[in-house]
Amino acid sequence: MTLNCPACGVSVPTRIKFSKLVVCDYCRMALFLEDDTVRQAGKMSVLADRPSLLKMGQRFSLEKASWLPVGRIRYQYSKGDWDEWWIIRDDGDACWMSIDEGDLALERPVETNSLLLPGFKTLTIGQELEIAGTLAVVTEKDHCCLTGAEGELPFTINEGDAHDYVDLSGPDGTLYSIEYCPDGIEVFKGEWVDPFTVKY
Amino acid sequence: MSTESKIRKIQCPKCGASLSLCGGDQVVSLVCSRCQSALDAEHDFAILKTYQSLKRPDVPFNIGMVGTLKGVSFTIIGMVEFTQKDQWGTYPWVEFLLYSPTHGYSWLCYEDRHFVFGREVKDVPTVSFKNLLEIPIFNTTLDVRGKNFKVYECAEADISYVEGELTWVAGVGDKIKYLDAVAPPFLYSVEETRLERENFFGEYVSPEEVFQAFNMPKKPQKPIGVFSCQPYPGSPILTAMARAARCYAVLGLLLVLFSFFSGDTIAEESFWLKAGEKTENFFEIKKSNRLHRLKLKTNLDNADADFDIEIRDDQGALIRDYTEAIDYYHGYDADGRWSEGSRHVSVFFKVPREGNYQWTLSVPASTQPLLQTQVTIDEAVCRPHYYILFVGAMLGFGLYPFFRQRRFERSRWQDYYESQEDDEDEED
Repeated sequence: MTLNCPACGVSVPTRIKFSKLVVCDYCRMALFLEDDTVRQAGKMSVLADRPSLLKMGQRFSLEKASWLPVGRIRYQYSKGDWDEWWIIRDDGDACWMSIDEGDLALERPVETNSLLLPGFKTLTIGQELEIAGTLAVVTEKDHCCLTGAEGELPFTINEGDAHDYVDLSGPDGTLYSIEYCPDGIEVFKGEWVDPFTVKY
Repeated sequence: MSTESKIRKIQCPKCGASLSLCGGDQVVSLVCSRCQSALDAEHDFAILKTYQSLKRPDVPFNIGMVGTLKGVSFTIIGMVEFTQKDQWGTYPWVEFLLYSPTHGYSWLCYEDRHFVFGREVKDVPTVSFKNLLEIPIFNTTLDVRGKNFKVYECAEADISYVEGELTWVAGVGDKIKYLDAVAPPFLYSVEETRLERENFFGEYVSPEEVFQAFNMPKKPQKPIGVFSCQPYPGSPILTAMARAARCYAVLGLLLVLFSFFSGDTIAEESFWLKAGEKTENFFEIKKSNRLHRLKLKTNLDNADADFDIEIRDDQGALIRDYTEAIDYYHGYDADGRWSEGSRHVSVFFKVPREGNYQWTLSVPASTQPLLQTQVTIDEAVCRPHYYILFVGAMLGFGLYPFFRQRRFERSRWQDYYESQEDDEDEED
């Protein structure tokens, strides 16, 4: 599908029919997509060019499947920044790939209705916590801020959005991330990915 | 898009040396190569401690060198020397910390001029052993990523040298316990400090490949011994030739078997041979261009004798003559019945043309007066000697790769076999 950016008029292609937000590559305007309407949602900063294992629009293979990166969000935290890539598998399945300097994780949202989650302030590094039947250890506790985005995303965002988060490590490379957002708590379950298994 | 990492420069707060930082956001400490001060990268490079006269190990690489391994560009950002000691000696090795902006941190282990390229992994189950040092070597196997790893070594080591950027605060004198398990060319390693246990997955890389990756001007020195996860350097050509040789050996064995059953019996006579007298008879050869055999059997008993055998043509001209000894002894002793020697002998001959020929047999007068004797003439026989030689040569060549690989594996596990021998000596 292709739409015209209401800010600059440039043609903006979209690959995914359920994308909620797409960033115009030319004028960096974030466009909110709802039904058949397109609304401007504010400008996004240009993401600083840096080496990355994934490249927008370039397919890669992982675990015998072919994936396409279609969107990216960059978060800044106390030690630097990391990227969250929105990637689509060749069968239409989609998930997030978190990349922080060679640390890769495939993440999917976890249903939180049945989870008992402690408050952010009560958690400490090294603390054990049971999440969805898995015992995990808190490895990181920090605050992050959204500094930019590009491509297509499954939800709306605003530059400057911030939230607290806690990362936990479980057995056999299982990871959990609890995000304490203003509109609620979100939990993601991830699996560590060896960067050398990402092939082009 | 560039894959080179960004470089920052700082001044060492102790000695003022200009230090380049290219190790990414996970670097926690930095050791100045000039004054050997350890700096805290997370707190404005505050001085943690200053080491005195650390002896830099003799290694081919320096901090800051860039190389491409497994298709990824890495920068050497740090270096740690570990030293393991036991009653037989001191065993140091060096681990270079590598950094890539796209692939993060990896390690290049350097020991006895061998190299292993590895990285920390989180998708493998950590060993369930409570004490890494109590795991039996050689006989314990671990299933990691679908491969069967054999435990090679469990020991404790000290950090004896640090330099450059590191992702943890490594101090000289710090201890680690480690377990190495091998499935050549792969190495699975578990390292435990007082704070945590980490898993590493590595792969043997030839020195030539590493030196080429870092554009080294000289060739690497020959590695010492066989490394724990070094793959056996089999030669595809040698393997194929050995396989062909084994097939030829089987063919040769069939020919040896055939030779024992070759030949047609054209004459056979049983008689009493009188000592000191000649016995003769005639036979007809139809295949003149082949080898023929005369078999002589007797009932010689606890005695020996020299038999004179002659082959003559129908004109009486001598074709071949032989003197063959037959000896046969037997008896009983404390171990039971024994025997030695044989009561038969065979001689081989060729004839110039088809036709009638004569054999003559005699035995000295001093021999047993009467010998029950049988003479058999077999036409067109095959002697197995050359086939046996051929089979031997083919088997030797065909089995050479097995022995070569066995010697290689013995070198790999030399320490284990020597410790087993020491244990057996102690028990004796």
